[in-house]
Amino acid sequence: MRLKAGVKKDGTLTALEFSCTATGGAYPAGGTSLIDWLVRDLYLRPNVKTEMKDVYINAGPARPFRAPGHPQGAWALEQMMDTLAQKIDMDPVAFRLRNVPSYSQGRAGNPPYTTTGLAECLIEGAKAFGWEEARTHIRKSKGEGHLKRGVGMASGLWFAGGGNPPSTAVVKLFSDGSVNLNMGVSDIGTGTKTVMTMIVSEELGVKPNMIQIEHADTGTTQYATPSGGSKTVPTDGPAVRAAALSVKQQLLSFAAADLKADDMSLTLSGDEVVSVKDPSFKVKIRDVTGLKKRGVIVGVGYRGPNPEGKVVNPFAAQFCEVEVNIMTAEVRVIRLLGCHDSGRVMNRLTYDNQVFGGITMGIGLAMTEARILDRGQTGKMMNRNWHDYKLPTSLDVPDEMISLPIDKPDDAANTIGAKGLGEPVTIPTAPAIANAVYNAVGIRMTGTPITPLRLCPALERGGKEETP
Amino acid sequence: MISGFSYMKVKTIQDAVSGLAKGSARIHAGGTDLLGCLQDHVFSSDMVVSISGLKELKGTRETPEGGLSVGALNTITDISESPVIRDRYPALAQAAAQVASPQLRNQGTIGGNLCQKPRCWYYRGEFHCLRKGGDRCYAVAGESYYHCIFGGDGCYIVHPSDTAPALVAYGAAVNIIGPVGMRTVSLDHFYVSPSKDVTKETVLEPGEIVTGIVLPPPVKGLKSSYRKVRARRSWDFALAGVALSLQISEGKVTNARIVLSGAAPIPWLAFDAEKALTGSILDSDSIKRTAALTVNRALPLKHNAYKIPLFIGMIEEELINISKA
Repeated sequence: MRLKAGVKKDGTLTALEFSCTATGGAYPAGGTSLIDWLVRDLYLRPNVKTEMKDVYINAGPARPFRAPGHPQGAWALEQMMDTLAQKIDMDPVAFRLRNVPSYSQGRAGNPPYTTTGLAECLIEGAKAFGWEEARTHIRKSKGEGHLKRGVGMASGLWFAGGGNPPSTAVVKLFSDGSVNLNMGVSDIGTGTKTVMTMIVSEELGVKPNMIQIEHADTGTTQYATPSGGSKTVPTDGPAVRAAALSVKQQLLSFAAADLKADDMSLTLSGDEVVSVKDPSFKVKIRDVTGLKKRGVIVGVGYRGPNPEGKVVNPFAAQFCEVEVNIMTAEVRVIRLLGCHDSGRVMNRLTYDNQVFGGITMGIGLAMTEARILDRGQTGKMMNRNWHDYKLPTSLDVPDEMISLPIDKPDDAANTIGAKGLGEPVTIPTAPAIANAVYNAVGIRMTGTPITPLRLCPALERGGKEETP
Repeated sequence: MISGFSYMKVKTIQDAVSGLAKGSARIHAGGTDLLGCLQDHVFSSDMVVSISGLKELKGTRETPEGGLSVGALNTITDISESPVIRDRYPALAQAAAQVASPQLRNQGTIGGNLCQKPRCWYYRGEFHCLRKGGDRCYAVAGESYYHCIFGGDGCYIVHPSDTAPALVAYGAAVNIIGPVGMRTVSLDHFYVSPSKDVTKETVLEPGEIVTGIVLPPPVKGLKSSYRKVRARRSWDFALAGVALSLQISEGKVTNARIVLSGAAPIPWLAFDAEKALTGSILDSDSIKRTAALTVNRALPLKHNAYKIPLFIGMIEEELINISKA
């Protein structure tokens, strides 16, 4: 990757020029994918030029595995932003805040984002991390000792994460007050079932333990799109809510017949249908005649279209502190804070787990993982087992890993107000770490992972920059 | 895919010796390296002889001279958590604590750790390399980040053990039993460098088994430690490691052992550095000089020259720690 940038002394970004070459392996696949997207879209930039080249090589195919192209692009762009901020003597957070767009410049016609929490992520994240205090403290404490501390930050957005039709869900309310939720969408460990249960529970007032789920079975559930792109919650959540809403409407009109009231004057409260005006005027769900006679109410929900002419994207800013041993080039990530705008927080536990998982993957890119081919010889992959391909272990992630959500419901995006989370988390982590390493020892890391293999020679030369 | 083999769990060490005499029999203790080797086709075996049930190879006991005898079947965790070893041979306990991952330390044995096969990714991969009877070492023209900077001669592996350098630094020996009886070999003569025989890592003959380790009594004024730098903080072999064992008397180093891991096909004795340090006071000058001398004869390959400043920095840091202790 090569990146050239122009900035004014007041912090206005004027131009970005980016080019990159990637290996697609022996087959057309995802070598470059969306590597230039953040350059085109993340910050206000009056002028931009990007060029991407995929090269066929005699090796296995390249495939993206998380937020295609974004972590790589962020690695270049966010380190460039750090460098620019330093050149104009501006705080990296303040510099980014000067250049926050409200619309997507990478798309034709510059359509607005439904919401952008980029500024909030930067401001709230910096506050919670103690960014300015940490920078001051590190500036003042440089000197003796071979363990150098540094702090760094980076931001990002994810190209997708808004979700889209189609999605279909079926909710059944039984006469005993229990519920069955039937949907095609899968739960690959992200907590989909938890989130969908909460949507039904919120809409129908039924306790989560009364909701049974059947899902991801091609024989018994509806067509669904794959879990990918960090779009499952905003894609399938609205369909589930619509199905629950349909059940609710049918139930209220049955209850209206029992109570001889207008169904618009009724609402659900716990296991009862009550009058909005007079809560003593009510009937228990299991006593609603229409439901008792039929035994079940079936509601079908469909995912509606996305808002026309608008873009739904999640945003992020991450902050980290590292310690570099300048004698051995060992780098320890001391703490990492992820501040994310993914719209409404649906469930705090599954939300935080996505943040911790995403950051761990980002640490993998920054610190341990690489695909090593036998260059110039056989082209075979040398590290094709779980020992040689080094995923971070629990000792490689910091004790202090913090998830700070910007809980900002995006009502224009869809009927549940949530945007995707997962991939956006893994985008800014590696450059935040690289910026922290620079802050600690003044060496600009251009390649990953940051191990003694790269850092040791740079430290030995007292170098400013890693030689690629 | 592992090809089929018979499994024999022996009740006596003699049964193990005779079991190993047959065909392509292989010994099993913790099995952590054996299974990987079979899986990766480093070698094949028609018979696996398990010594894991032999009680006499477990435990530790004091020798009449005041040293320590350690059975080969002690797990790595046993070694790292033994109060006696932590107290009297701290470098060994530290080395054991940095081996692999907690699961592997609970399963793998100290005997196995000393006799494990190299971790070179060409040797473990689908490459018919010199050590496997082929005609070349692929690391020379290939990906040599994790290979040796000393002692390579045709083959450029590094010795994978953390405990071996610590044991060499303490002057330990291994007890061996085999078809022709028992023998004891000093650990610094136990390993075979590629210049002697590129297909062997140890002096063990077919059918021979390591039954235990004997550590001499710790001398007065001994300061020792093991330091390891790796690319990942757990479950990783050394990029560079050092076992230090310094005898200090009236502020002067009277005897020094500096043994490197991640450096050479065998635990590597840094003779020049040892010589320079012996007779010196441990101060910043002697520390700098010693650290530089550990790598003065290094011959790096294409990708592993980073190990030179890494060894220097790591040894300097560790000598400073010892001088302050």
